[in-house]
Amino acid sequence: MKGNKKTPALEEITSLNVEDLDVSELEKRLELVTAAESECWVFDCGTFTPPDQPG
Amino acid sequence: MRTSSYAIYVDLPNHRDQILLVHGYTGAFDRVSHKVGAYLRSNEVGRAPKPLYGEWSSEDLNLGEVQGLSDSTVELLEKRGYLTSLTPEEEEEKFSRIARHLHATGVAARPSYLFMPTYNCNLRCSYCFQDEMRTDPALRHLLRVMSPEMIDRLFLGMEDLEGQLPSVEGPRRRRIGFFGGEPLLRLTRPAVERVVEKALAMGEADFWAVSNATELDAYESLLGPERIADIQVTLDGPPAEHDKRRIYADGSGSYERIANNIDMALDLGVRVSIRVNLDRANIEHLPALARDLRARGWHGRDNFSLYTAPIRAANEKTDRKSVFTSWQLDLEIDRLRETHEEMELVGRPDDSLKGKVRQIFDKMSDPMPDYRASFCSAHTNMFIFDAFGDIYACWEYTGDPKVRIGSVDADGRMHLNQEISDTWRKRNVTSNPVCRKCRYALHCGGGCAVLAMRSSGKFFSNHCDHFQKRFRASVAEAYEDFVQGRDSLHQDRVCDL
Repeated sequence: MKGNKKTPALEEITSLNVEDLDVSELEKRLELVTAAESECWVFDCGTFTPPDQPG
Repeated sequence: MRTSSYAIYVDLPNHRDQILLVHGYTGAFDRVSHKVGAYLRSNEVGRAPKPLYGEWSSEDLNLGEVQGLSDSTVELLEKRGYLTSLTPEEEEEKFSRIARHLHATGVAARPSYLFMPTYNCNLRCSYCFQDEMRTDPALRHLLRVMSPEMIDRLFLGMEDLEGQLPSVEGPRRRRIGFFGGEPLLRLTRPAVERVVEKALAMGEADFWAVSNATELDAYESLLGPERIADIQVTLDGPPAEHDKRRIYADGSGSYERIANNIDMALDLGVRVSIRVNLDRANIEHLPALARDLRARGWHGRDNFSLYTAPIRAANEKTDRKSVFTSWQLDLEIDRLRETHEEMELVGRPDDSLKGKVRQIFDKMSDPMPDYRASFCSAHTNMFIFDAFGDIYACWEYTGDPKVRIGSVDADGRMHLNQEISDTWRKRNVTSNPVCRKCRYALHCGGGCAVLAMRSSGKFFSNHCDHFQKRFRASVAEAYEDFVQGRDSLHQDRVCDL
């Protein structure tokens, strides 16, 4: 499954978020997710109420 | 090297020469050419997922192109997670480790509290999931109001609980909600006021409520940014339609009373989120509701918003054929938006999801902090107190001591039933084999446990609610708005407090 040696065409892949994202640093990024941040989505941030709550 | 089992392909209806790639656990969002998409699809171990609309065209699947990628492009695809040297089993284990870590972080978060001052309610909505509490005489004992002594006891229980938890860094600001039954009845005002005052005596706190708002006028001095600052209120159509659905026990309607109280709450600076519960019988009334709210001037208020949700068949009075899935409701609202400009103030069930994706594009941000290893806080840090001192994890499953996760005793000590508590707190996307393999799992959280129980009879099962379609449509729309420079619909409300 070797590709050829040509320079990558810029239009082939364009990062739309974290440009230097690297799967090998996943664990490090994971450690940065804190419990304090996790509190936020009790409200499903953005809709005020948790999803699928009863009426 | 093979394509990751967690690669998501988002086709773009307006850009047929490109597709978006999203990686389900690395957090990568990328725009790629057809050639790259075809390359990845041809390296899937199993069958590549179908596109959201129609089928992959022969051009999409032109496998003759797949050898044409440069080494650098292949390297970049590997770096962002789309290509992997892990076996499917090894990758599933890696995904599970990530999900378990995120879930554990959520469980370790500071508790979120919900008080149910009573299970009683002054309305008799046909679709109510707690219908039997008000109609079955055998359950009448549940309808009492939380006593002052019980409130004092529960606050001791909160202190007891917080003393047992590992400390979390950052300023402590408690979040306290009110739910019922109807929590903001005239009858329950002393209980609610006592909760508010005791919480503020303990420290800073934010208060919110889910209320039918029929008796909100009794709470005027308790409403506002420093007291109950956020309220969700349900309106199920314009006056005539709403008054057929959200009715008093004598059959009379509630719309005007609710609308007057919403006016008052908005004037007091309360953020009011209107929820509209929809099925096939009231969907066509939605534009008329939007016109009515616009006529009242609410649409121009910063503290007003409106969103929609499908009615679920939660009791025997609700015809299963009449209900929408979330995806079906998204499409219905799209249809109405095409012909009714007033529908612009009506949010779809997935506008929040679209808003979150738009923020990722706008801020070039990492989605990982927003990943959901479980569906809602019933599986992490929610503690729901009722008038009997019982504690529940999920507000759809209350009033039955057999499913309580614990209780607070007369001395204010909290006792958790470890087995039941663990059942709730351990449900996450690794606890069933479908979610563990799902590309979308960390954006979805595995779906609602209650709805999973209703549809499959299994608590530890997935409830997809067409999330694959909803996610891809939301990403494609967010991207289109992003490239067109259109305003984001995302509203960071409570989390910005």
